[in-house]
Amino acid sequence: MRGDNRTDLKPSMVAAVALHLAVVVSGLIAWPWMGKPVQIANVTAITLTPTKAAPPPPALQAPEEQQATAPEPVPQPEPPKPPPPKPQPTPKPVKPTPPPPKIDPKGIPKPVAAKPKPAEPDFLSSLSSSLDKTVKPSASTKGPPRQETAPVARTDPGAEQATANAADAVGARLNRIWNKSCGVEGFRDVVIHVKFNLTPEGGLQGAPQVLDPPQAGNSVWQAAADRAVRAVVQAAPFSELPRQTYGQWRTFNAVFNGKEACQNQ
Amino acid sequence: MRLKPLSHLILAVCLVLGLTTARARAEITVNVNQGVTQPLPISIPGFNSANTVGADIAKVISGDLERSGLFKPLDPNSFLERNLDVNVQPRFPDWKTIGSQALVNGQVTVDADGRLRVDFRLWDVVSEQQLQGLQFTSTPENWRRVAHKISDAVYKRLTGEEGYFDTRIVFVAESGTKIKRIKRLAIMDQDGANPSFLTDGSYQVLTPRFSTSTQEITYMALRDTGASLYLFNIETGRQETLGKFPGMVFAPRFSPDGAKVAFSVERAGNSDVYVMDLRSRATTRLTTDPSIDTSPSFAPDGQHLVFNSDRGGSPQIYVMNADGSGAHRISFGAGRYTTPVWSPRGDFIAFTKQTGGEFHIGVMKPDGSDERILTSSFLDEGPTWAPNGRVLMFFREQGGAGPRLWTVDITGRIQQQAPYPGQASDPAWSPLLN
Repeated sequence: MRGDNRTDLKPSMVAAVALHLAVVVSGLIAWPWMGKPVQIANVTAITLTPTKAAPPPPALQAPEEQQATAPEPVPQPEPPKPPPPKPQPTPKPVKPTPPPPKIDPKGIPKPVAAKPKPAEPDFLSSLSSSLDKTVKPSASTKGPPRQETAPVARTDPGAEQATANAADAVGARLNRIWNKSCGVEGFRDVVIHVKFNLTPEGGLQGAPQVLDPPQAGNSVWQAAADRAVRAVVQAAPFSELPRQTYGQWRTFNAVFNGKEACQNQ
Repeated sequence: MRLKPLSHLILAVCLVLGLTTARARAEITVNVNQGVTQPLPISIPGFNSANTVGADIAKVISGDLERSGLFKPLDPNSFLERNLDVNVQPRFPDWKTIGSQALVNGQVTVDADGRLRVDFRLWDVVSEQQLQGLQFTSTPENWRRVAHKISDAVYKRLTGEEGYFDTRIVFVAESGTKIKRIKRLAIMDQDGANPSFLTDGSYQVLTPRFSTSTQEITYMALRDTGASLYLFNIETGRQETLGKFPGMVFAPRFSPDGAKVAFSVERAGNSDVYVMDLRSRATTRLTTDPSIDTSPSFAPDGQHLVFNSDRGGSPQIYVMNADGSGAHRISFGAGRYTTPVWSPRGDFIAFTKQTGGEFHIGVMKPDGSDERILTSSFLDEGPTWAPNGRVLMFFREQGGAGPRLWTVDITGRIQQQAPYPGQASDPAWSPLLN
């Protein structure tokens, strides 16, 4: 019986062995033709919404409650008032405070409690009279304005020299700080104009402004504009500028020229 | 009386003009046309996370940006503000104090469905404003790619150029003695992470080249039976041969659309450039000159090819139309020019140059002008472009230490060894991953 069984199984065994061999051989043949696959998982990107305004800096005392009002003008000195009759309770309860009122970037708004609107001829008359005042020399009573921190530009040769000196000083500082990127394709085609005002001490008065119209979608222009503004902010204060000639160097227009800066690179 | 309003108007106009002139006079124009080139100081604190992956992501970003040569990540030990919240503005004065000009912070969370979520923000410390905010989601094990994508985003926002960090390098990993050299196809992330072999070393591999649009490579395999060209999809592992050719086939390279492969065929000492349409498998001969024409590389518009030929007496660089017409020489300097590669930007052609007993990697404009040598050593060879066309990788052999992978930027100023510890040659840079 055993011998019969062995005889019966023989063809199937042969077939099984042949089949296994075929699989192994096909694997060996296929192996050199298949490399090791390398999986790549997907990454999805979403733009985050900007953060809210920064929280107020840590205060030593509990912050006082502030009213959420429309933008207020820059605080002006007020005439002294008698103290309020009833004392304010302190400390006040801390509530979720709105962000501090923003300063109107456009400056002080014009007073609303206006006088009756004058007719146009009157306006021109007042303009004319005010012009008369400005044209007339003010020598009579007050004398010339003091040279130091004089806010008005003069036109004498000494003033021109003061302006030239200021331009040289500011230009030299900006050239030492401006981090250009000549290796970036398109940077050589970019010229950025940045306007900024200085205080008598040489500090920045307000934020520098890029005068060129924004180029939406031009990432090279955007990065170059950021670098130019960064250079101005980093370079300030220009404390080497003489305060006594402030009237000659208050406002600057810095021209960041990528082509000239990269011509030898 | 009738003239009075008119006189007032003239007066007003004169006044306005006068004020304008005064204002123009008061504005001083300063020409800034020199500047400096310095790495941008940037701070990248560890991202907030429940485990170490937040710190790991920050390290990968820091390494990417530092190797670019355009950024100088600051020492985290110098940071004054700690535990930043990604949804709150940082304390800018603290970052200015340590000299930082940019700041990258973020947080890592795992969603309920197990997906990794990474939020990050890029801040301009000097101007005190947010420059960018992005969120990436992926699988947790894919955190390195997320880090590279953040590096790309930061790089682009601060330089204006596309990044090249979410990419990989295919190369020939070499081992063994000079007599019994083993050359295996290998792949790694551009920062040297995740290295792995793609072939088993039972046969030699040469000149792998990435498709500029897909995760596919073509390379030359050298077996006992002869040389063959292969296509290799590295995502599936599937390979196929480009067929049999009468003679030795070598130097394959994809067309920009990935639909064709240009290569050389050598027969009886004469090499010519051919191009194969991968769909029809039809092959067209592009050069017929009785000299060695090899190393074809397509322009990014697919309309021209640059190649190497000694038809003028020594190996020089030539450009021809995609149909083989109009071949003209563009290199005229002293020395031998080989392995030209057209930049993905189209603005430069990189090459290997042999002169003065040294090898160099250089670039020139497609018309042959503005040639610049970027590197020099005992043996520098085989340049490959990063997908943004700003950085080149090549292999360098010096001091008998075996070939190593190096990178150089297009200005030649930033040159460094690539982060792969072993011996390697013939690098090929991938396109940006999707």
